[in-house]
Amino acid sequence: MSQLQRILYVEDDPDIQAIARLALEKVGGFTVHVCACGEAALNEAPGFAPDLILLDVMMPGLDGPGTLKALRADPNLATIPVVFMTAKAQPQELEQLLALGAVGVIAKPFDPMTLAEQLRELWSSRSDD
Amino acid sequence: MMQPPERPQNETQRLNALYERAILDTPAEERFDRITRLAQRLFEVPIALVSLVDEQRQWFKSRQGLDVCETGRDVSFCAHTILEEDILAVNDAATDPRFANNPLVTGEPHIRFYAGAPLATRDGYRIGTLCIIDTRPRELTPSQRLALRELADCVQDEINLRQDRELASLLAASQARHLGILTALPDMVFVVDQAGRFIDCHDHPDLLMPREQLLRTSIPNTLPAHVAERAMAAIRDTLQTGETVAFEYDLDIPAGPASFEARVRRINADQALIIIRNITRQKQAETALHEQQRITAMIAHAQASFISEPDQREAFDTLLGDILALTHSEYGFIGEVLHTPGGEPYLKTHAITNIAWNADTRAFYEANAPQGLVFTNLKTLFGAVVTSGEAVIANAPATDPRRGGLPDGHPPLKAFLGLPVHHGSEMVAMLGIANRPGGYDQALIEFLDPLLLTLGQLIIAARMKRRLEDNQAELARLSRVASQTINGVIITDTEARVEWINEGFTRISGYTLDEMRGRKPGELLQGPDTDPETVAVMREAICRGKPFQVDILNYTRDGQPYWIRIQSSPMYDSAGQITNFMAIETDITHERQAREEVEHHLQGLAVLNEIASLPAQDVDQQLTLALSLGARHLGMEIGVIGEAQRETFRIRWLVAPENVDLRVGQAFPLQDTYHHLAIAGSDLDSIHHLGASDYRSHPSYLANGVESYISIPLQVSGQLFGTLSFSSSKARTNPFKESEREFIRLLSRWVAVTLEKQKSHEQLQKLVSHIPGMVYQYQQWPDGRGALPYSSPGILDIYGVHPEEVRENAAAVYRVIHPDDLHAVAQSIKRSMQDLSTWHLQYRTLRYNGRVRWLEGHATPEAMADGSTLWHGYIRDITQQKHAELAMARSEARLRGLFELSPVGIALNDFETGNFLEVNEALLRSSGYSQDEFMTLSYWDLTPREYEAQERLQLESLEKTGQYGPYEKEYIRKDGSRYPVLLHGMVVLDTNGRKLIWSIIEDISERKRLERMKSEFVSTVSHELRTPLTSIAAALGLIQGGAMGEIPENVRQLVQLAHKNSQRLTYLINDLLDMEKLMAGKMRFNLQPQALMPLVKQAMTDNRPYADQFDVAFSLTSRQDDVMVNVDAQRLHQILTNLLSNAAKFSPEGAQVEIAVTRIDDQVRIAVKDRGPGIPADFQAHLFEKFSQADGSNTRKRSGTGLGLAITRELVQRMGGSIGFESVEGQGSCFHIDLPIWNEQQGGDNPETRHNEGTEP
Repeated sequence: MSQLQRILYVEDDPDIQAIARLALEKVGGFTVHVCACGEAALNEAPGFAPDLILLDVMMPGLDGPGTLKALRADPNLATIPVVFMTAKAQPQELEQLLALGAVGVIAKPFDPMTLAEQLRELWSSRSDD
Repeated sequence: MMQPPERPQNETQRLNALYERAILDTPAEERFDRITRLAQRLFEVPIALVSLVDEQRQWFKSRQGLDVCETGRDVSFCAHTILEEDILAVNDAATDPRFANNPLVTGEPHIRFYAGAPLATRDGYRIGTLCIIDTRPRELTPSQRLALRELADCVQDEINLRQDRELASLLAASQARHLGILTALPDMVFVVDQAGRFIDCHDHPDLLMPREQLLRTSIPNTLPAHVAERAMAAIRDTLQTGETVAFEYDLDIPAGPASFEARVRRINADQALIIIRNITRQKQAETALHEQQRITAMIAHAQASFISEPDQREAFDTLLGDILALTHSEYGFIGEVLHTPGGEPYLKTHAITNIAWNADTRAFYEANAPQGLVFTNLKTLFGAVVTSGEAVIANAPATDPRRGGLPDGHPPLKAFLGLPVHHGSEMVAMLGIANRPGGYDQALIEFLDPLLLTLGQLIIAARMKRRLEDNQAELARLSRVASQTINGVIITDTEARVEWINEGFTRISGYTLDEMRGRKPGELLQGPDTDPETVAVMREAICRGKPFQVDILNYTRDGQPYWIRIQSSPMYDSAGQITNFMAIETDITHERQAREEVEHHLQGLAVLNEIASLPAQDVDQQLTLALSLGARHLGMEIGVIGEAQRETFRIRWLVAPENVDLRVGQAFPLQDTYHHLAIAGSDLDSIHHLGASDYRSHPSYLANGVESYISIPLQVSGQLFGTLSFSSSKARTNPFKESEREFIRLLSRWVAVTLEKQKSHEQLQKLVSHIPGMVYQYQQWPDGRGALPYSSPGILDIYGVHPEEVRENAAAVYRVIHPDDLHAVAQSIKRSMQDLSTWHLQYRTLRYNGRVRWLEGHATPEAMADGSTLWHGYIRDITQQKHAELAMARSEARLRGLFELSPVGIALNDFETGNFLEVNEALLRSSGYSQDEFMTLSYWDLTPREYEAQERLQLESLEKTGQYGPYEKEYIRKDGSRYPVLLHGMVVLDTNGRKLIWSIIEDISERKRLERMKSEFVSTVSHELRTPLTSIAAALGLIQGGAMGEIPENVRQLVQLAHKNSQRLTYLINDLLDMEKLMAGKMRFNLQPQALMPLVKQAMTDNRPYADQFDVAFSLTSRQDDVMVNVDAQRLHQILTNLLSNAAKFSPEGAQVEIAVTRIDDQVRIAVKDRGPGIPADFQAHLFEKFSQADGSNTRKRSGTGLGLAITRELVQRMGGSIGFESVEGQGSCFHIDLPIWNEQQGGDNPETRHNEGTEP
């Protein structure tokens, strides 16, 4: 099983972008590429070739679920596991998001010190499947 | 020259009007005389008259100072007056050309002055005058003219009133008489219609069923077919022909078999009157009489035939036949008792019925009967007669011990009577008869007694005849027979001179043979009351040599009259020449008496009928008259109706000759009168000759010298009133006859009814005076005049007038009626009068004091013969009720306003059908229907079907508690769209007791929209709050977590503070959202049956790091490994987390939190116990409320949002569990949740599970 290393992070809020990048790079030691919107992610994902995509749900333009759908439509990207991050972390919303094919959902606000660890756990639980 | 008066132009009508008054040639009356006397005095004239002018004369109804009662019209002054409108005054007749030569002026009574005022009928016809006459010239002053006119008006009123009064009293009398006849005596009276339905009847003891019940049925349904058919035929007949139809019938009534006579008479086209009289007694008397006559005839017949028939056997045969017919027996025999030479008795028949049942017996009978059959076996029923010498009655012969058995084929023996026939002390024969329907009795034996005597004589005669054979001359033989009979026998020659009489004749007449011989019987026996026609009949028959039979009154030697029946026949010699006449004479005095009794009885009934139809105006007169009629009928001088009160007897009504010292009102000690005997015996008591009775020492006998009396108690309204009695100072020779006793019984019934009527009239008067309002009769004539002939005292209260003020004229009443209602009153009366419909009106009175009162009247009109209408009714004061009604109307108007203007929808439904009865504007607005459209809607046109289950629950609540709701559902608008409504309502009863549902239907679309906006707002706001919070918390987290490298201690502390508070803000937002979702019902539960313990352990594990912060340990003290629960694992985790974190948070450092899982019946309890400070008692009640925490100042140490327990409780309840706690301040708390234990059987039977169907992945 390969190590989780490359993460594509899609988030419209620049403050959260900065904090999450810090948490993932500094605490988790990942290689992180950040996109500000769904369209950008679709464009840049093939080039970056991420191991996992961390996707904010509410975004202007193409939102999180829309982006996931688009990713799944691209054969080159369809197999990349996706984890959602959302501020509407209510149970049935979580269920809906998981139902779309995400491997996990991380609620906002997230704990920056454990965020990387959470992703690693989701990554390995996916690999157990 | 005298001028005769002209005839008025309307003379014919005028005369008719006069005749209609029916006043001509009637006796003088005080009411007119009073006025003429007054006129005489007032005008100081010698003559004052009320004069009526008919076709030929003037006739004086009232006259003062004049002897003649009429004069010719041609000389009449008054005939002139009636041509005038006003008074005709002739100041000096001698100088007036019209009258100067009038014989009344020139001769008696020398009229010089005349003044007459015409008298007019109500229709304006002048029928006479009130006039004054003087013998000297005079002149009336204007005021005198006025006075004369006024007096004339009085006369006029009297004349006109007379008719009205008479009509009214005639009517009253006829009604009362009608009632009297109905209720008193002795017949049953029915009114029936064509179909025989009973329309009316009066109470009578012989009615087949109670009156009320009878009035609901008909003749065909109550009477046996044979009677009903005759009755119905009679009704048809009389309705067609108008003739009275009478018939008689027999009917079993409770008292036994009875006979009735019915008379049926048409009343109008479809009703008939039936009068039924019980004639049982009369019939019985007739039957008894008839039978007596028969037996007398039989005896005479037997004797005559025995004497005249050459073959005596035929005489016995005839006699046996007669006896069988008389006693209704089937067969029998007459047998002579003979003795064998050894002295053994045996029977030889003289006559026996042929009951041969086969050829053998028939041959035997024919061969032997003429000589007589011989019976030697006496161990039989008839033998018992011979051996015992006593009568034998065997009404059950088959089981009688005396029976000897019957030969085969003998006709059945159902009843047997054997009678010994004696002559002197010797039993000479016996009579045996059989099979009388109903058997034989002692009464029949007594009845047959005289016959047996005769039979004995005949047997002896036969015996002698046998013995003497041809040696005896026929006359001698006859004499032997005849001399023995109880009847008289007389033999005359052809000249009707007596040759021989027997002892019987001597016994009856008192004459001996010596006295009679050679005389003509009529000379000695006939007397003053003997009917000459009967004598002529006898003489005629003797002349012609014919037999005859007559009843005739004869006189004994002592001059006592007696009735005798003579059956006479001529006797022939061998050459066929008449030699003698023989007559058998039977004393028929008893028979005559019985007949007189029947006649007397009928006479009594006639008197009673007369009494019953007495005019009923005055009870006193009525009773007194009844007493005198009764006394006359009974032939007694004194009649008394007395009242017994305790120990006193008081005469209330009386008839007595003047010399008897009795008077009405007189009182005696009851013990000293005979009446106490009747009262004590509760029945009729009579003594026909006191001086010869046990009572001759009674104080009353000593005081009054009464020799005979008859007295009967009077029961009035079920209570003893006193007695009705008749008495006489003369003794009666015979006891009171049954017919007289019956008469007095019936009379007492009538008296009792009359007294009852009077009593009930008095009670009615009392009653009427006590009922609120007034009872009245109002009469109105075609000319519009009205009067209240009767009004109860209540009229004073209702109209403020006294009954007598309005008896003649109702004007005083009309003055009180409110002017605004006067028209309505008049119209309603007119309407009622026209179609004879019930008058019913509510109207007002306005009294002088300005007070307005509401009245309500009901009255039934009746058309009277004089064209007027008479109402019977009552009026009551309904002012209070009316005020209440008006108040009610006002209150209803207010409610109506509320209903119509209410912004909330309101509907009224019928409880049973669910139909809409009323809806208000608000509901129409929300639903989009018009009022008319709405009324046609059914329930399910408005309510979507998916609410059916919920509707059923609400309906149950409505039925159980009378209320439903509040609950929410949706309504379907006219356009098909739906809108949410909040409903609640209740059951009410309308005035008819019908169940109705009032529903408040609030359109909550707007509220729902606001709720949705709020929910969306909260959701949006939380998201928008979270986004910046994410950056803040994460940034602080990175710094504090050392990701940015070491930071100075003072900075680290501040960052820690900021980080902790950003976390708290996060929890608050999470809880808010949870709460919002719970409240909005949007929280979804994924219920799954699963083991409980792993979930508990997971929660303990997950919360351990948090507990570590407070140095608190979790310890599981009790477990239930096999328990399953049906829960949402995540939510249960949230619940347990809340309880565990709370426990940890509030525990002192180093303490232990104990978790115990236990089973309580079908529940499992998870208890979490801490050793914290406990919950203050005054806060415990608010523990589960939102944003509550016991101590606001402890937030630093015990952080929390204050929503935790509220959310926890909500979650527990949504999963079918409950939450509770025990806590003592200072000793820690123990929270527990109870969840139902899940088992396989209930699998899936959980509402929450169903609710979630299809929503889970």
